Amino acid sequence: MHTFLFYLPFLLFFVLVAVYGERKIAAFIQSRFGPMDVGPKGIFQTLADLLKMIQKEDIVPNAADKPIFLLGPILFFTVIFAGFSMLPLNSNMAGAAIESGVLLLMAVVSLDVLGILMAGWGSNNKFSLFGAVRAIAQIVSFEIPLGLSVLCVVMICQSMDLQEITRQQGLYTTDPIFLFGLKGMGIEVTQMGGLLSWNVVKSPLLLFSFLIFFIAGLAEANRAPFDLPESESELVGGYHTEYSGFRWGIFMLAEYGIMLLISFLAVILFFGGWNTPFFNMGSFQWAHWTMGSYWEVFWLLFKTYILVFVQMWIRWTYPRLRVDQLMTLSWKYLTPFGLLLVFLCGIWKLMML
Amino acid sequence: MNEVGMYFFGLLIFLSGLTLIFTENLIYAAFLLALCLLSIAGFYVIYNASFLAVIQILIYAAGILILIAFGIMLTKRSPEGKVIVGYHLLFFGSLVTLGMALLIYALVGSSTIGPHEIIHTTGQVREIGIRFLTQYILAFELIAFLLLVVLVGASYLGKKSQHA
Repeated sequence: MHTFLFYLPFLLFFVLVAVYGERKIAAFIQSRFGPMDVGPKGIFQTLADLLKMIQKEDIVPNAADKPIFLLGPILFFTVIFAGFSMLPLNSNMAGAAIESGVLLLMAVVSLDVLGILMAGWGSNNKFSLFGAVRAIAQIVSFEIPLGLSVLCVVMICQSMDLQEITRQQGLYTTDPIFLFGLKGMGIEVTQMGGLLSWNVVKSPLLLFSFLIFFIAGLAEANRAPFDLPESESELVGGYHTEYSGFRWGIFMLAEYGIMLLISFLAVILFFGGWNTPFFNMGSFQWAHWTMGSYWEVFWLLFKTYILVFVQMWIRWTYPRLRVDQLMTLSWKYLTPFGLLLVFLCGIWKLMML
Repeated sequence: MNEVGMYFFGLLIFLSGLTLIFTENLIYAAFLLALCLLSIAGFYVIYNASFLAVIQILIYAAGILILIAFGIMLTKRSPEGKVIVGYHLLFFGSLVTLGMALLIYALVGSSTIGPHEIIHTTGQVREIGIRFLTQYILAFELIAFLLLVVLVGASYLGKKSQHA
């Protein structure tokens, strides 16, 4: 089975759950109940919303640039969904076999701005256009720290294939793994697997890379505190102000899709992908017990869900940045630190050899 | 299968290229340029140069965006909300085009690199990396130096305009 066939229904299902989850998490953080009316504890709220959304009229403003306006959301979603084709699911199902998978994922993530720009420009509305222009500035700037943090991982793993990167972080690795990657210490943990062979433990500097990756990923996904392109209090709705009904729904789908994609990528690059966190200790073969086709899928999704939860948690905790603060963060803090980390990871890799 | 893909992407490149030249709407032109460049990436994929294709998408997606952003910011907008461009310097334009066409024709005629030479290469990324740091190191370093100069220049200009 190709992983693509799994990810499309999974994405749709995920969005249903995530919208409800986000509203509940937001409510709990703000000491409220959140949706409670539809179904027990409001769990059918998203389904009801979906029904309402599908029934709405598909409005195209008279002054809009019609072809661009109609194509925008479709391109936005298609591009993000194309990113899912590269993701591995477990040790047998690898996704598209592309040698430079990570790079292609980065390309895909940056292409989605074209869709945003189409929507923002095509709407012929100044709020939409402001949102789109902000999205360009933001995504193009944060591409650089994102790329640098991914480069750290690629240097440590010496591969850009997502499945190969994952395989190196567990029991199926072909190279010996030493504790913290330091060969000089001579503590080999290849047979222990689990947490000890994840990239963040194999090369602890990658923890800082992960922080940069996560911050830049939030910005790429237009999530708060970087939701300037669609900030409700300033721009009405940002680039999707003029959209209604199912076209607006596609935007929502794509936004939750990219959130999920960034989380998947973070898990695969830094936290062992489909590898189990438990390691073997003497006669307790935890790593062997918790590995297998279904276990691997479970671990991948479980870790991804944790990161998605953290993204929601951050959204409802931090206030939005101003445009100049956003640029300062990207160019004056994340990019220099990213460069420094690339240098240090190079040195660490020399110690791993 | 490869042939079908080749003709498909070739047609896309041809049509998007032509329309991009003759359309008066600047934004359409920019999006068509994106389509044209992405179709070229499709060509690379067909000829098994997937790394090059990925780089093409990665660089030109951002490049086109910057182009559109400047297109929006620097050009006048008509009341209907369209950015219209006119035709000027037709004579010199066609002269430059003719010159370029001749140059490309001469280059293609004398080139020894064909699709068939590349088609069976595997481990491209590794190979490209090794070649960059051995065979083509001078060109590689020169380009890096050029980019550094550009970066310094850009930050200098940016700083100057801030004080003015």
